[in-house]
Amino acid sequence: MSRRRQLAEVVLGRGDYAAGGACTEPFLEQDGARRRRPMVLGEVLCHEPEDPLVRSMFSGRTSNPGDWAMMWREIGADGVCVRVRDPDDSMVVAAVAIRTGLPVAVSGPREAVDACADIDGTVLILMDASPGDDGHVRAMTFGSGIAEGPNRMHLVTGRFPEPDAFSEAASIRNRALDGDAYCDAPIAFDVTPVWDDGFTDERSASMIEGEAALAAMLSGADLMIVRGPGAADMARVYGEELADL
Amino acid sequence: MTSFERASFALSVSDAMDEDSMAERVARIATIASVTPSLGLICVRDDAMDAGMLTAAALAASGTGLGIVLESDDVGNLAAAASAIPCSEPVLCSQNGDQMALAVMASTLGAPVILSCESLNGLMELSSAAEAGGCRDIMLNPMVRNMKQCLESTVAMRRLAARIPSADRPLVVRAWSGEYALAMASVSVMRGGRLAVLDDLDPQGCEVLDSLISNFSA
Repeated sequence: MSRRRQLAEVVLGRGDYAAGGACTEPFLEQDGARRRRPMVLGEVLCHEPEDPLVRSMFSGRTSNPGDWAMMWREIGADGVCVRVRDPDDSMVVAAVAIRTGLPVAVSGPREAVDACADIDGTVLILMDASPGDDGHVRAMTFGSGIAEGPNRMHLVTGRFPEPDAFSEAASIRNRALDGDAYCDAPIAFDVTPVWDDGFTDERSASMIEGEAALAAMLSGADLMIVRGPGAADMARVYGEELADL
Repeated sequence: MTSFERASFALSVSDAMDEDSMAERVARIATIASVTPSLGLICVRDDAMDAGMLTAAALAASGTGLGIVLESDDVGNLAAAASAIPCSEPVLCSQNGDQMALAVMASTLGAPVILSCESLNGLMELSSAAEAGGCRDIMLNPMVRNMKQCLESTVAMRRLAARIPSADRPLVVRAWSGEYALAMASVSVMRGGRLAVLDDLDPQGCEVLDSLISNFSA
């Protein structure tokens, strides 16, 4: 049956992006859904990726994280997710934040992520790589200029088409709509594990990662992290159609 | 109880193809189906609007051992083809034809039927009337044209089904070709749709849809 409850949102970037703020099951106009599509963040590594397909998809820009992040901006991503490995990578994150002006999420070992906490000029979503006490991995946002209000997000990740992570996201959204205060936080869904077995060509990578993103948004994701530009494009287009934008 | 307790999908073949192209197309679908368990049916489309050509195409498709969906705007053509093929229970569909005539024919032949209507109330009325007329296996096609409509209609029908028995029927989505068709079928599957009929999808797309059905269909 239909449920309606205003859920929390998190303001990102320089206050010009927001994730969450849903009030219904995903996209349901019949329940009065808010017309907002999930944000799409493109992945950037601080080192050259091993997968030749990824290098090819970004026309060689993967050797420089700043260039790579700029390509994400040019193709319309709402932000980037920088995978850091050690504290020195915070300089890369700072450069990406300044150069792109986009919201930057940071993911990696706790020590490396913590080193990014004082970077100025953007709001970071810091993803703790270790599971929380309740089995969920949490994402926290902090940094300069963050708006008042909740600053917590759920981070869900899983390998499409295995259903567990998608069920978890749907469960978080449903429980939030039922009034569970812990669950009432936007959901960030990292779909990149779909790459774990590798892809043979760009088309299959785009199609399968795009399907993973579609499944994530139908499960309640408010923000998605993707690896391929084709999937990012599909996720944005599908999100706009489902949100009736 | 219906024939479509488990979700599945169909690829289609046009009866307007020449004999060789049709044989090639049918063989291609059968090959994909051999490694794609959810690809359980071939939809034979009456693009030629000719009973003889539809029957010939249905006969070609029936040799695969897959289930058959017969699709025509002319209910008379469906009757001719359904009576001719050895497959005892082709699924009958006439998106733009007379739905009550279709239901009467399905009842007479003892065949499963897909009833189509853009209005959900209309679908429920059709479903009740077809059941009263003796139809056994009834599926409902809300004739959606895009992903958004598919999401809204599928959820609305499932909510109705929780309250009204005549709405509790397997839902069908009809999509075209390529990645957008795959996306529509995916939305349907993830919200409880039971049958996706697509014009075409490459083997990789079929594999993705098969995985989705295996993992996500209720």
